[in-house]
Amino acid sequence: MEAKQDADMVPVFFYGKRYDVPSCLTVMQAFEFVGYQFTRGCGCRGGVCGACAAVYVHPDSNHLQVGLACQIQVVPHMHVIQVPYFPVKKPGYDIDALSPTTEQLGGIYPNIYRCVACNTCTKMCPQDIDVMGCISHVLMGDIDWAAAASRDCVMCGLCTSRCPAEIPQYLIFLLARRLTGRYIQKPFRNIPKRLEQIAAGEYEAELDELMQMDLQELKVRYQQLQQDKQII
Amino acid sequence: MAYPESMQASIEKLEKSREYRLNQKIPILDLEEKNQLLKDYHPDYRPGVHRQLKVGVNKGDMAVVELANLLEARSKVDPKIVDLSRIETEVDTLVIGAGGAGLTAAIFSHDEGASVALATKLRLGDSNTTMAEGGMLASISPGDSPALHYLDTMGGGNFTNIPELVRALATDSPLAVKWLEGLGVPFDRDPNSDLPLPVLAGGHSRPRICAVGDFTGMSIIQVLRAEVEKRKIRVMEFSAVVDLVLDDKGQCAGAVLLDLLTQVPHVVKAKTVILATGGIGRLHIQGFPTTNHYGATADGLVVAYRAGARLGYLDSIQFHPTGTAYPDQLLGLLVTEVSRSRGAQLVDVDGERFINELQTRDLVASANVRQVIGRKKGITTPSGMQGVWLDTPLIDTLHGEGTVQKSYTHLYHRFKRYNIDFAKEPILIYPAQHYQNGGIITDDMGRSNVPNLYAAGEVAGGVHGRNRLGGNSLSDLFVFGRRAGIDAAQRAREITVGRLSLAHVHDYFQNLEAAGLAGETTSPQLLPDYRFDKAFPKFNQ
Repeated sequence: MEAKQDADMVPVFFYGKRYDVPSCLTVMQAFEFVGYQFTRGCGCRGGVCGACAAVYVHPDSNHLQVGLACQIQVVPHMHVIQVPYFPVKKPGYDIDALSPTTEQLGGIYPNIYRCVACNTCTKMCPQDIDVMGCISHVLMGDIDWAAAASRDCVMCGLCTSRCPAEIPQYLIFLLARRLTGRYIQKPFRNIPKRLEQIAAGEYEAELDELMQMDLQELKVRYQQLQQDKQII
Repeated sequence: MAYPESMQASIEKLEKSREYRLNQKIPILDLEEKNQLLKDYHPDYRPGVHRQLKVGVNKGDMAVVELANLLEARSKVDPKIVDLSRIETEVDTLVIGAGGAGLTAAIFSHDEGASVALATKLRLGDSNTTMAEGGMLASISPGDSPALHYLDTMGGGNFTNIPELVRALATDSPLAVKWLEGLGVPFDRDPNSDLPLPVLAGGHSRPRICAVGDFTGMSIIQVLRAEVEKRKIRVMEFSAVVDLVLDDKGQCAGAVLLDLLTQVPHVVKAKTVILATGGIGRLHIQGFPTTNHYGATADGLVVAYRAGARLGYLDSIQFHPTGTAYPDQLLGLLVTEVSRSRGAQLVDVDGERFINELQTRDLVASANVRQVIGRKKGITTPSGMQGVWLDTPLIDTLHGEGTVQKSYTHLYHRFKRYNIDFAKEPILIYPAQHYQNGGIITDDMGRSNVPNLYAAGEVAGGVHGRNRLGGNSLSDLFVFGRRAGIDAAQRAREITVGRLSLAHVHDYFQNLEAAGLAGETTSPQLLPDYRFDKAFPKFNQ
């Protein structure tokens, strides 16, 4: 069975070439409908991997519009392209040797100091992240603010593709999130103890017992445990 | 409200029954009831969905038809045109697949001193892992233990799991969380509590969920990708495995990779190979939509089988109870189990519940099928797809206003684009293919029966038995990715590779011909075909 409602055919322009496609399809499905088989430009198909970022113009607006091709429906008369990759330098860093400060982030990604606050990055974000706001907060030392506000970032790279200061915003935000996770948030309190217990072999006897138990008894034990679910 | 008129009546009934349902307790099924429900309604049990394999190591075993067709097919690249003397690169460890297990294996193999190449069919990180939402599981809360995690996992798998693998999973999962924490994965934490998320995942008896919002997988992949890049590990993107290479001693000695952009085959020579190629959802088992990413086409299973690897549980597929059923544009996309952990309920067209929502996935999926197909109490969308409601507004009722928007930012965004606010409205769901329970059988270090061939992650089988518990897959990736990575690097120090050979591919083709199976189909499939009319999402109920 196909999920195929009666849909109008509407004109769209893929890389400048006109096609007529059913209006109910997503941009990604519309490309496939006319015969494209994706290699680049398609990843999770679920809006989290950033592979399918699309940029389009529409006769009714003077602005560039963006979206993830797998998530947005075609807009009649859209002129759309994908930007599956944009080159960016990726300096390696050792997360163990860093601290959550503007200086550390700026040391790795110095272009951040060239930000002219034009807001182009925010306009290019298909996830509606306040990209310039995050950059400002990083510059002010609020690393965890930027981490929280950039959580939805799928690292599509559209922001950096149009940044006049050539800032790799999405890489900076990833580092901000990592620094927050590692240095600002408190770790799970009980993990060190649990790892000690495991290393000391505290659970070996019980695991041995469960592994050697006969099936009937194991089933009974399991059912008992399932009746005894607790948040402790 | 984006729901069409035809679906509004059942929403009204759902809203009316909410107060009653809030306090309604539904008991869990006993073992007999469980078995009956699975037999009657789980898609794995439908007639004609499996067939016996006629060639290879697992000859005589049952496998889902779509997979059997690919296992019993000719090589995509004719071995005669592959020049084994032209080696693209030579390494200690070749990792194939760059999702959670592959990235982890590459990192640990490298850190153990091996030279590593990481090949992937799409981009670094493209995988089912990226799409994991609700969290990974580890027994880190005070009232928990690896022994309880072991027991829950064995029971969830209907006791068909390989015990040593479950033990490894339960014992190492806390270490995996610590490792990821150290790398900066920003797990959600209550600083005042020793618990991970204070809710239960389906089939788990203690709180174990370590999550980053509703995009745990994406968050982890972003970090691990950066760790691979930082180590300057050689990455080969858009390089799909089409066959494994063996040597004249029968050892796995590398792979033939097809550059998907240029269609040129390359040979990588390696002392050890780790397959981490993930799942099979884009084969659309029984025509079901899938939660999986674009590349989930069982490639690793195909090439391993041709090389003589033993597979297992090939007739066991996990259907996630709550795949999106409306709107059509989002068909099959995952709605995390943690929605039910936080109190969302499954509700039929009459506004009634019908199953304890936190039973294991096979049971809840079967119950959804029963409610729609068996009891005819589903809700139908304009395109004919049927589903049941997931009453998500209960989450805010139980945990405070704003919980949905704060805890499920990706999902919220995804549905809001289609004018559905699931903090205030229910979501229509139906089971979607989600996970391959079985795969390449390995020991607890990821070693398969083919010397120097490892497998880790979804492509491997046995740790989950015939039904995986939610959250255990993410843990599986890091536990076995690490074990395979370290072991492969250590193994690489001990061996020498003989003369490279694709004789096994020729032999396999002879076997196919002898069995009358050498048809037009070639495998691995590499990518699904959604061109032209196939662009409309298919569904099956």
